[in-house]
Amino acid sequence: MPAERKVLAAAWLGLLCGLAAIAGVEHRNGWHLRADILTLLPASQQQPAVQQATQRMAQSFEQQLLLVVPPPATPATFEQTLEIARLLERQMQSSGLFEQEAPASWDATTWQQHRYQLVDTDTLEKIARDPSALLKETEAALFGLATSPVDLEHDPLGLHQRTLREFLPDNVEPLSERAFLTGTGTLFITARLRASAFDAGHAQALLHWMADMKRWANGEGRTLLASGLPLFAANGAVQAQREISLFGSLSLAGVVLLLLFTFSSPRPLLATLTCIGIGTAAGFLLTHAVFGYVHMLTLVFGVSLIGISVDYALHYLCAEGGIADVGRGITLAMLSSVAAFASFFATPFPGLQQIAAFSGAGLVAAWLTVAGLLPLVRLPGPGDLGQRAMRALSGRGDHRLRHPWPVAAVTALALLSGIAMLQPNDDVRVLQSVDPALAEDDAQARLHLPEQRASQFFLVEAADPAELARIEQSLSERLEGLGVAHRALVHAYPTEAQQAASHRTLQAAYYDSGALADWYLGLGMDDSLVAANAEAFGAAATVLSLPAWAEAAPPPWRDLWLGCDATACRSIVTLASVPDPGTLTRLDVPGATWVDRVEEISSLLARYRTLATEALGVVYLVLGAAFLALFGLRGGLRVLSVPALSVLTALAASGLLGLPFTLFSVLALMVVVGISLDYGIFYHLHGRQRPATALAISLSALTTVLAFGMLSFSSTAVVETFGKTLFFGITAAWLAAPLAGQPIRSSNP
Amino acid sequence: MKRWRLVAFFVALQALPAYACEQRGAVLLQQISERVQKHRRWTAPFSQRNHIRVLKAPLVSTGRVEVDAESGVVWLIEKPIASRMEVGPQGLTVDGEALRSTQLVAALLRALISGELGVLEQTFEVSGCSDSPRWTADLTPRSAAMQQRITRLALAGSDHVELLTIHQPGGNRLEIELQAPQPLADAG
Repeated sequence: MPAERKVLAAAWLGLLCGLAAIAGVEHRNGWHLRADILTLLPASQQQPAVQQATQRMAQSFEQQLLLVVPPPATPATFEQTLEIARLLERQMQSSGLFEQEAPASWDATTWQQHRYQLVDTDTLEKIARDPSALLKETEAALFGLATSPVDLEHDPLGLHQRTLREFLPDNVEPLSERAFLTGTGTLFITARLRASAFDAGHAQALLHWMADMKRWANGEGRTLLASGLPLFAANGAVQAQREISLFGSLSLAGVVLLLLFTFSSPRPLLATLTCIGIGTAAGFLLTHAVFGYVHMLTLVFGVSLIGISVDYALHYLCAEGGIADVGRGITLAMLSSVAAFASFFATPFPGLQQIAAFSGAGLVAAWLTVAGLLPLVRLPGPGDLGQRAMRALSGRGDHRLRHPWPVAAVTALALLSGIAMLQPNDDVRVLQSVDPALAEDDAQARLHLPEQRASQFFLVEAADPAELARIEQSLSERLEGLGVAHRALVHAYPTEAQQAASHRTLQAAYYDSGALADWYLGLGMDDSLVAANAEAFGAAATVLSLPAWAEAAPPPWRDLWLGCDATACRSIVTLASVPDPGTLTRLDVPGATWVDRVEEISSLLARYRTLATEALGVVYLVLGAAFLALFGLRGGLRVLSVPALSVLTALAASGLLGLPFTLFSVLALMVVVGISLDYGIFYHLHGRQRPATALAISLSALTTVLAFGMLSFSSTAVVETFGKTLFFGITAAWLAAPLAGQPIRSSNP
Repeated sequence: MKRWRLVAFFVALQALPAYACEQRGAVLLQQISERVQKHRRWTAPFSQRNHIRVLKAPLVSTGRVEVDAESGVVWLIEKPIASRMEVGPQGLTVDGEALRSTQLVAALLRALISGELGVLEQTFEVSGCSDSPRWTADLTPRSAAMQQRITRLALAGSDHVELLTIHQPGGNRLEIELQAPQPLADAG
C-alpha cells in the first residue's frame, strides 16, 4: 500500500475516533434541535438601546401563549365560565408543557407608601367638592359589605385602592392568577411555556394538546382560540420534521434504487451510503459542538450534502483505475466546494455560519471516506445496466451545432429576460410556513383582547428624566394629532409638583381642619392612634421621581421603563395599532426613535442577501483565478463556463417562474456552483469520451435532483425556493458539463 | 407504664377531632349545598359585627337580605347607615352605582349567602365537617391576589347559612349572622 494511501486511511480512522469522541461529549451535554426562526438571525446590530428595548418587548410574548374563549351564542352564566377556566387551568397544569409557577405578583409597597402623592384626578376633584365624601364612603364600607379591605389605621380615605383603579385594564376581571374575564364575557388565560417546550421534541406535544383542548371546548359548546409565537414555532418545527423525514427517505429510496440498478450489487450502494452517513454525521456533530444546537433549517439544507458528497463516491465507483484515476478530481472538487461554503463563515449570520460548518465538515468527511476507506475494500464496477448507460452517455455533447450563433443568441436572450424578471423578496415571513388555520385563529384571538398592541414602538432617549418626560409629551401630542392610540409613561405619572400639591390638598382638607381626627374619634379609635396617623402623614412628604415611580409601577407600565445609565434614560411608547407605518417613520421628534423589528429583520435579510451574493461573486473569481492557473486559459474558461451557465439558468428560471429571489436562493446557487464545478473539473480532467465520467456525473445529477426536486414541494417558501433553484441549476450543470471537456480530436480516452 | 398510658391517652385525644369529622373540597361543598333549604325567593334579617383591630368596639349594623334564585341577592343595610348592594350576575351595584370587574366577588357572595357552595371550590381550599346537625366549612383562598382581600372564610349553618366570618388581612374580621330564611311569594 503506498504511503499516501496509508496516511489517508489513518486519517479516516482518526476522523471516526474524533466523531465518536464529539458524539460522546455532546451526548453528555444533551442534544438540542431548535426550530425558532429568530435564532438563525444575527443579533440586532443597531444600538444596544434599541436591542434592549426590543428584548423587553419580546420577552412578554416570546414564551407566552394566550388562550381565548369568546362568549357563546347563548349567554353563559358566570359560574359556567368560571368552570371552563378552572378545567382549562387544570389541563394546563397536568400537561407538563407550561410553567407551573404563577407569574410573580406586583409589589405595591412603593406606591402604597406614596399614596398621598399619587392621588388620581377624580379623587382630587371629589375632595375639592366635599372633603367629607371620602370619609362617608369609607364609613359606609365599614358598616356594609366591603368588597375590598379597608386599612382604617393607615389609609382611611382608601387612596391606594383609588389610585390602582386608574391603572387596572378597563373592565378586565382576574378570576385567578392566569385567567381573566373581560366585560364582554370573553375568557382569556395566559400561559408561559416551559423553556424546554421550544425543543423540537415538545412541538408535537404542544400541538396535540391544543387540538385536544379545542375539541373539548367544542364539546362544551364553546370555541377555544389561541395566539402566541410558541404555536407558530411548534407548527414550523413539526412541518420541517415531517418534510425532512419524508423527503429524506424518498430521495434516499431513489438513490438506493438508482445505485442498485447501475452496479447490480449491493456493495457499491453500501459504500455510497457510508460516505453520505459519515458526511452527514460529521456535519451534524461539528455544528452541534460549535453552536450548541442544530437548527431545523440547517438540517433541511444539510440534506444538500447528499448531493455533493455522493459525487465523490460515484466518481470513485465508476472509475476503472480506482483512486489513482479520480483522486485529483475529487480532491479539487472537495476543496472548491469547501472554499465556496467557507465564504459563508465570514458573514455575521448564524444561520449561514451553521450551514457553512455543516457543509464544510460533511464534505471533508465524505471525501476522506472515499479517499481513505474505499480503496481498502474491493468494490465491483458498473453492472450490465450501468455499462449500457455508460455507452449511451459517453460522447454526450459531441455533436456540433450547424448554426451555433443563433442558438447562443436565443439562449442569451432567454437568460437575460429571465434574470431581468427576478424579484428580490426579503420579507422575513418567507422564512416561515404559516399554517392558515393557525394564523386565522391567532388573528381572531387578538381581536378579543381588551387591549391591542402593535409590534412596532417608539424608543425615547434623553439625558435626564425631565427631558425624557418632555420628549414623551411632544411625541404623545404628535400621535394624538394623528389619532394613534398609544401608551406612554408621561400619561400616568403625576409630576413632582402635582405630587406635592396632592399632599398639600390632603393636609388642608383632613389634617389642618381636624376633620379626620374628629371622624376617627367618632368611630372609637384611640387618641394615640389618631395622633400617630397625623404624624405619619406629615412624615410622608417625599415625592417620587419618574424613575422611582416607573420602577415600582404595575406591569404594563413598568415594561415601558428601560432605566437610566451613565449616558441616558430610556423608555418605550407603545402603540395600539399602526394605521400607516410610513407616517410614523417620518414622525420627526428628536429623541424618539421608531423601532420595527420585523422591518429590521427583513432589511437585515436584504443586507445578507447582498452580502451572500457578493461572497458568491468573490468565490467565483477566486476559484476562477485558481482554475485558470491550474488548467490554463482555455481549460480554465471551459471549466468555469459550467457554473456560470448553471447559475444564470437557475436565476433566469426563477425569474420566469416568478419565484422570490431571497438570501436562500443565493445559498442554493452556492451549492450549484460547488456541484457544477465538480462536473466541470471531471469533464476537463477526463474528457468527454470517458464513459465513467459521464456515468458518474449523470448519476450524481440524478441523485441531487431527486433530493432537491423533493424540497420544491416544501410548504416553507424558503425551502421551496431553495429546492427549485437547485433543481434548475443542477439540471443546467448536467447539460452544460460536457462543455468543459476536451473536444473529440484532442480527447484522451 | 402508667406514664406511657397517659401519653397514649393524650395522643389519642389529639387525634380524636381529626377522625371525628374532617372532610374536604367539592364533596363537602356538595353535601352542604344539599342540606341547605331551597326557596326560589326568600328574605332574612341579619346583623353584622365588624371587628376592626384599631377600634375599641366592633362596628355593628343590621339589615335584611333578599335572595332571588335568578336575579341574585340584595343586601340592605338599614342601621346605622342605610345602603343597598345588589349582587347580580353582572357584578355588584352599590346604591345604584355599578362597580366594574366584580363578577367573581358577586358570584362568591351569591354562593355564600344562598348556600349553593359548588362554585367556591375554584377559588378556595375547603375543609370542614357536615356530619352533625350543624355543619362548618373553612375556606382559604388559593390565589395570592384573593389572599390580599380575604385570608380565610368560616361558614357555619344547619338548614341555612347561619354564620359567615370573613377574616381580612391585618387581623380584621367581619361576622355576619343570618336569621332563618322566610320564603317570599314569587314576584309577578
